[in-house]
Amino acid sequence: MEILRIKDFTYKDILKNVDISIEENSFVTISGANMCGKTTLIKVLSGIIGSNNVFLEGKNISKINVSVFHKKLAFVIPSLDEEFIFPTVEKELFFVLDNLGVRPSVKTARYREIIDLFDLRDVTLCNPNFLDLKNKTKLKLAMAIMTKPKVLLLDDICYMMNKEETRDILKKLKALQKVYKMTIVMTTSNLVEVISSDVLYILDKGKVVMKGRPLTILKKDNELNKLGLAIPFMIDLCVKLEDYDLVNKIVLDMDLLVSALWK
Amino acid sequence: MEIVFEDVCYKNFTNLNFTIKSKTINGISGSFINDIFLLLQGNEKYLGNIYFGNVLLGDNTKNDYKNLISIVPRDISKLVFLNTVEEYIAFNIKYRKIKVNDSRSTVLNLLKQLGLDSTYLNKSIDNLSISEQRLMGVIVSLLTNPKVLILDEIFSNFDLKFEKKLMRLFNYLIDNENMTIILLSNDSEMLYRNTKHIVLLGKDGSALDGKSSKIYRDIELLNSNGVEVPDIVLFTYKVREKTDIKLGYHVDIRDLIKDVYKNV
Repeated sequence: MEILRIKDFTYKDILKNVDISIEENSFVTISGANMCGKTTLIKVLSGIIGSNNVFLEGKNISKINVSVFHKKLAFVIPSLDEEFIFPTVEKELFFVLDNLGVRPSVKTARYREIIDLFDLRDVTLCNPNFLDLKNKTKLKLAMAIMTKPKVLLLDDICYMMNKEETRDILKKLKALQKVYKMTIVMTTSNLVEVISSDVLYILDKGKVVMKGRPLTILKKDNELNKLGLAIPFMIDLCVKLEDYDLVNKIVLDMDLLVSALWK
Repeated sequence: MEIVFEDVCYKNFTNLNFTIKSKTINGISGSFINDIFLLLQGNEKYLGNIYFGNVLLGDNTKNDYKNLISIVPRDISKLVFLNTVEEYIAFNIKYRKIKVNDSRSTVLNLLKQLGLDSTYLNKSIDNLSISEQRLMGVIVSLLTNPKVLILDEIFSNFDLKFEKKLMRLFNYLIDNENMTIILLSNDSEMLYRNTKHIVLLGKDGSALDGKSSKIYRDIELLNSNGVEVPDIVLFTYKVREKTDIKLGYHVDIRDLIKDVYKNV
C-alpha cells in the first residue's frame, strides 16, 4: 500500500517532474551525485519546502494538521552547525518526551526502549554536543522516532562515518523498519549504503533517471559512473568479472568470490 | 612547505615524530586525528618542536605560520544575516581581511575548475546540502592563497565526480602554486586513492609516515592500528593468502581485473 507520494513535482530548476511513490514499510534510498536535488526532495517530502504535490496516506500534506503530520512523519536533516540544547543525552531525550506530552507512567519505559534500541545507555549522562559522530547520529534518530512515526525521512545520515559506523547505523535503520514497521526514505551519495534497501531511486539534475532493486541498478556501472557515482567495490568487481565470463553473479562476500575464482 | 613534528607531546601522545611532505598530497589518518588537526592550526600549547619549512613554530613565528596555512573545517559556521553563497564569500573576504584582486572573477575561475558556474553563488545558504556548504569553505580557503591547505574529512559528502575535480584542482595547485595539501580523514579508500604520503597515527600514540602505496598495503600494520584496509588491497591480500598466486597490488580496479584475468 502506498504511504507517501510526490506527484509530478517541479521546484525551481532543482527538481523536475519528480514522481515517486513509496510503499508502506519499505526502505527506499534516493541517490545521485552532489547537487542533483536529494536534499531538496527530502525537504519537500518533509514539508519544509511547501508543496501541494505531496501526499501522506493519500492526503495532501498541506491539508494535514501540523501536529498530526509530525506524529506520522519524522525527519533528520543534518546541518553542519547544529547543536543540542541540554547538558546530557538523558535530558535531551526527556525534553522531547515532555514536549510530546507522553504520560509520566510510560515516559521512562519509552526512554529506556529508545536508548536500548540505539545502544545509547553508556552515554546518557554525556553532553550530546561532545559525542562522537556515530552517537550523535543515533541520538538524532532516537529523538526523531520518539513519536513512533510511520515514515522516517533521512538526509545523508551516514555522512563522515567510516564503514563500520555506517554498517552499524544501517543495521539500526533495518531494525526500525522491522520492529516498528516504519517506512524509511534515505538519501545518500554513497552507493554502499543502498545495497540493503528495497527500492533505489537515482536522481540526476533533479530528475528521476533510474528506479528499481538496488542490485539491478548497481550493475549499470557505466551509467552510474557517468553520473559521478562510485559503485561499491564488490559489485564493481563482479560486474567487470562478468564481462570476462569469470563469474556469473554478484558475490558480496570477498572470501566467497576468491574461492569461486580459484576453486 | 614541509611540516615536521619532532618529539611532540600533547593530550593523547608523547614524543610524536612525523613529517608532512612539501608540495604533495598528504593524508593523516588513525587515532587522535583531532589532536593533530588542532596542533596544525597553530593555536595549541604543546611540548616538543613543530617546524614549518625550517622554522620552529613558536610564539614569535606563530603568525607567520598562520599566514601560510588555510583550514577547511568540517563545520561551516552559518551566519543568520547572510543569505547567499556570494554574501558568505564576500563577508569572509572582508572579515578575514583576505587580499584578493577581483574576488568575483577569482571565485568564478575556481568554480569553473570544479565544473560549476555563477548560479552556485546565488544559491540560498539555507537550501544548500552539506556538500554545497562545505564547498563554500574550500573556496574561501583557497582565496587566501595558502602554502598549506588543511582539509578535515573533505570528501565524505562529495560524489566521485566531484572528488576527481577537487583532486585535479589540488594537483594543479601543487604544480603551479607549490601548495602542500593535507587531507585529514579516516576513509582509507579515499586516502589510498588520492594521497602520495600518509601519516598513520597508531592506537598506542605513535605515528608512522611514508608512501601511501606502501603503508596501505601493510595489512598487519593497518589491522593492529584499527585502520580499515582499502577493499582493493584486501582483495589482493586474500588472493595471496588463499592461493599461491602473487596478484599485484593496484589502485585502479581495471588494473586488478586484468591481473585477475591473467591469473585465474
